Amino acid sequence: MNGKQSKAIVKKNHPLLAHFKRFYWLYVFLIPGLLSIYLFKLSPMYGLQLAFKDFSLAKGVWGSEWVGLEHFRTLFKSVNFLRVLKNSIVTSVLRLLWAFPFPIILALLLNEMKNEKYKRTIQTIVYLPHFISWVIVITMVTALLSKSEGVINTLIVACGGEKIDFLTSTKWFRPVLIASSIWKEAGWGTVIYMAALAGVDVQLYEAAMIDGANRWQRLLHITVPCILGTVTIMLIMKMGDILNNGFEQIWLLQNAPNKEIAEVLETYSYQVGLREGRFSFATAIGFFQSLVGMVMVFLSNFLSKRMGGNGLW
Amino acid sequence: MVKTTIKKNTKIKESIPERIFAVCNYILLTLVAMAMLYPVLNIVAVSLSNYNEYLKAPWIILPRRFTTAAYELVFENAYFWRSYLNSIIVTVGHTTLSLMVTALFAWPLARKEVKGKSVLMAILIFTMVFNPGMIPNYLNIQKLGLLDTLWALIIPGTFSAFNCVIMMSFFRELPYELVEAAMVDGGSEPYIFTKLVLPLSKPVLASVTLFLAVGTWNSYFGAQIYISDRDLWPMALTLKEILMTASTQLLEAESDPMALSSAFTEVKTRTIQYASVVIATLPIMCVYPFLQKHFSKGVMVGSVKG
Repeated sequence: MNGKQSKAIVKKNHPLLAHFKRFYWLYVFLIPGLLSIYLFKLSPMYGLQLAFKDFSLAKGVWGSEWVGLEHFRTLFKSVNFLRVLKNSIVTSVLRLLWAFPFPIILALLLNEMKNEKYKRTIQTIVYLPHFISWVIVITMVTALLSKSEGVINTLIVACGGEKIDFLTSTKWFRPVLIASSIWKEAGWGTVIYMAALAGVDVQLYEAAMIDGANRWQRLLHITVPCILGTVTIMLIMKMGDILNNGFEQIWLLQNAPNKEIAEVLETYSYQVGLREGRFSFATAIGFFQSLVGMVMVFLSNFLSKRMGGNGLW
Repeated sequence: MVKTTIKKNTKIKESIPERIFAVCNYILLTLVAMAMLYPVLNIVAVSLSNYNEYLKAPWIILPRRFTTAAYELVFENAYFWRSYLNSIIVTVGHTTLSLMVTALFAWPLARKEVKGKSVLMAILIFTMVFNPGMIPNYLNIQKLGLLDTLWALIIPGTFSAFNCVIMMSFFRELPYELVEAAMVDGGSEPYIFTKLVLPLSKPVLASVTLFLAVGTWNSYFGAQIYISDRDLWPMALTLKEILMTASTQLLEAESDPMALSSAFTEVKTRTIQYASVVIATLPIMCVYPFLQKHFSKGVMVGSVKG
């Protein structure tokens, strides 16, 4: 009672002042986060000007000369860049087609399991690969697929086939990449969908069962619509990654013979920027990547909402 | 809630196609689980086996001619321990810091009283979709004087938009009457947050802690860019060196060459590699079972509307 009365009295003075007086702590809570965003997200932005400058170590970032869109022009004339750009897009589209649906299907199947104990055991196992680093996963992939000692090639030979050059051929690079992604992340990807599935109202299923709906109908008309929102949000976020394939996995799988196909924007800009010291050029690549990602997120969010679906915001 | 459905499900008779589906489902998921488990078992088995046995049968899932020689070699490597320690420092530091910063940011976002949430949401979405890029980040770390220090792996990225969304979604689902009751009782906001909200949010805190810890422990990219001093390398980068490049040379240089050559007939590259892998993954595997049970309740991803 006391608190409410005092609130009413202060409110007469100035509503905004009263509000801050009462809730200032909530704004204080935001400070560390804002500071972190300022230091590591906003403050690096000054480096973006390098994309429009000719960076020289002696003159520094601010002192270097402006060259306008010169670097972007060189970028889109460079055969190498266009090849790497194509690789990035093809790889992430393949990932979207193969690796994105996998966790959803897995989660739906897990959800159909009625034996709780068995289900939990399976979950514990399929989550496990996520906790293994790329370095280790790629070591395992190399060991399994190697021509000399690999289990897979031993099996192929035993079945009368010929050894396949998985690791150093351009033909097999993408299948190996996608398969290792699925192995590592598919199980983990179910976590978010499982949480969404756990939130589905049980009464819906009960009502449907009384109405005589079978398993398939329940899945199609209750379960799927209920997790569609989560799927949309995940998809929108993935759209922003259309040019991003991550560095670690590809860097480890990449070698001289498969580089033609393997190289993506991340590994390319690392090579060009930090190894060869062409800072401006690499900054331009990164800037382009971020812009495309941003446009894709906004576009897919807009389209999703336009079609009556969920949006990220 | 789940248990009641099981009881009710069994009451209604299932049709034959439904039963066939259920059986196939069990078989399929068991196969998937086996495919995920097999390489892990294989690694452990090989690391504990004699190298010649590995060459004869690389697919083993149980050790053959059991030996811990590979482990002894890895244990002797002072360099390995140094990076192990670095990884622990970085992982604990980054995880704690990031958890605090992100939770503190997510709580006001979940509160209806807070004004200007649309601005905060815009900032959140911006940090989620825009990344300045490798070179600007590098120059920024350089400018802050963090190059070649462990801080370069601890403080950047302490605010994670994705984790913030997960926490916010969870906080929004908390019974709001409790917060209101505490406010009426005159509880201060820090009190409400630490004594009421955080204890109720264990599932989400456990999940995010694990996300953060695993991500930090396993990542080598940051160290590869920011840290050239080998004494400051985290485990992941050292492991990459051991596994990918000069696997034996590194061990040779760091441990006693005499001891190495005598042991060399027994232990070869692959077993040493796998022993390092097992040791490097052990901490994560120890924490995992304790935090895993919270996942299903902890990880909700909702819309970020203000």
